[in-house]
Amino acid sequence: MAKKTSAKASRPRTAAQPAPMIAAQPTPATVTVSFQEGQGTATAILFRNGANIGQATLNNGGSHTFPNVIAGDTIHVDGTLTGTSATVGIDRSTSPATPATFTNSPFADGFDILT
Amino acid sequence: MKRHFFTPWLILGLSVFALDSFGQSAKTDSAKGISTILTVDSLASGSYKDIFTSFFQLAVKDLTGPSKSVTLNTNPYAVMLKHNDSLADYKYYRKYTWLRNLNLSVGAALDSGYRFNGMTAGLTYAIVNNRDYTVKKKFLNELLEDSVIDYYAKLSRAVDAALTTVPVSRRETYRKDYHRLFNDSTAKWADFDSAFKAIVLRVIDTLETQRVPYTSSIRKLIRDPKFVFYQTVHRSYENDKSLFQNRGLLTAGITDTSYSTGLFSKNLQLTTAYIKGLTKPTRQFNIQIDIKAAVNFADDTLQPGRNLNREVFTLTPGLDLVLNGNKSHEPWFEFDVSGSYMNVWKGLYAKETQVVNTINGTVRILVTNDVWIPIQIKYDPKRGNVFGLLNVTTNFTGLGNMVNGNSKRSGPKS
Repeated sequence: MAKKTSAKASRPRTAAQPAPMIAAQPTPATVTVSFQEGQGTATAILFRNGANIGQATLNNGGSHTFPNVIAGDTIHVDGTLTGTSATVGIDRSTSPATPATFTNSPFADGFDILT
Repeated sequence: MKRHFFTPWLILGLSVFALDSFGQSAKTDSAKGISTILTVDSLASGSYKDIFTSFFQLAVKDLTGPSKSVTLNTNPYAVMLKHNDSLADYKYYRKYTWLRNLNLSVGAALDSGYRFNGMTAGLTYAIVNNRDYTVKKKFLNELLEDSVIDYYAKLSRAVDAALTTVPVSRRETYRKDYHRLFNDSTAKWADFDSAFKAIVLRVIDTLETQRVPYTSSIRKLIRDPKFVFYQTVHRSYENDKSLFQNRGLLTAGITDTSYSTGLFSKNLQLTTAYIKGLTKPTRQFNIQIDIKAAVNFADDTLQPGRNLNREVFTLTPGLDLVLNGNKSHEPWFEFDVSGSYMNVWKGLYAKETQVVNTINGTVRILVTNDVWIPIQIKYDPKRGNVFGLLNVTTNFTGLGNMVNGNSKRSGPKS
């Protein structure tokens, strides 16, 4: 029961309520990369104001969680694949939206964190 | 008489049905954004696909001769994938490597009047499949060591980092250009937004001061407004990939042929085949070694009852001369020259020669990636006999592509 209450407390405010004029609190964002019909490797980098905040290499797929991500950050993913496609997913609202599928190799894209 | 009349129409009907149904499934797949498995071997030669198929292959042999046959080869993993998309994930793709290296075949033998004359069932296993670059660690390492691909990664990261210094509201306008620059093989440099190009040029300047390899080349190339950055990068990838197309493939197989009654083991055949390219596959003219060996255990008709007492050994070493497309590097014409050594080890018939040597020539015209017409000519130098076989071989993805209207050779996707 207590668990449910704390989950509610961390939930963002609804559209009807005005957004608070304070800096966004960093929250985790998990990047998941999968490769289809072949192997591949991908590098996920968290950029903030031109600086590299964190980086992870995902060999043959997998996921990585960046612990402190705020709106306006960019999660960059680049990689090579030997099969037919690679799929990138981020568990946050991003532009462009995910999951994103890349059918060519190499591939690269940046995903701006919206909220 | 009835059966005589209907059999060829039945074969034709089945082929059309297969064409239609696989065309439909190809359409469904393309709608889902899933490409078919055969894209991985679009560069493979016809003789390679004759030895080992990665999806479906329908082969009609000796069309004009007295012993016609229709054989359907299939790869079980490809069939499973058609019904369960999640198996495409690398985890399963790797797990089922043994299934991907397996080919199953069923066929029907027909006499000169298209009457059923027995059926065949067999399996082939790729013991060594060095052409399967999709799971080769070496290929992935080669890609990571490729200076063009390395530059691509560095540039894409640096440009993305630079974009994060731009306010989010303005950044969105650059996102489309960013995606196209690094993923679209048709996006010309001249077509990008000038502000975005300015950001990219500043990043290139920075990489140049850091002496990142390939920067000076890209600076020269970028002067051309028609320059397509991703095309250059993707070409480098394709070049690395094509080097795997001349690696060795060794298969072993077993095929059982039934009597005309349908009862199996009239002829048991153990086969092995080896194919390896000798020259760089990106060249327009490529040569492959193609060696096949088989031992047949056949019914000795002079002995009573069913038996496998007649043993025949065949060795066919040959060379495949492959002509590749100028730009696509995909084969379109092949000429195979081989010698055949046939030795009847056991069960020699009266007036039959124990050892027969022939010189063979096969011309394969690849109509599309997956449809080709092999015309085989055999010459017996001792007797001066010449006999020919007309075959037609198709892969079902080829048919599917034809239905979708994209049967021609595929270039880099964007």
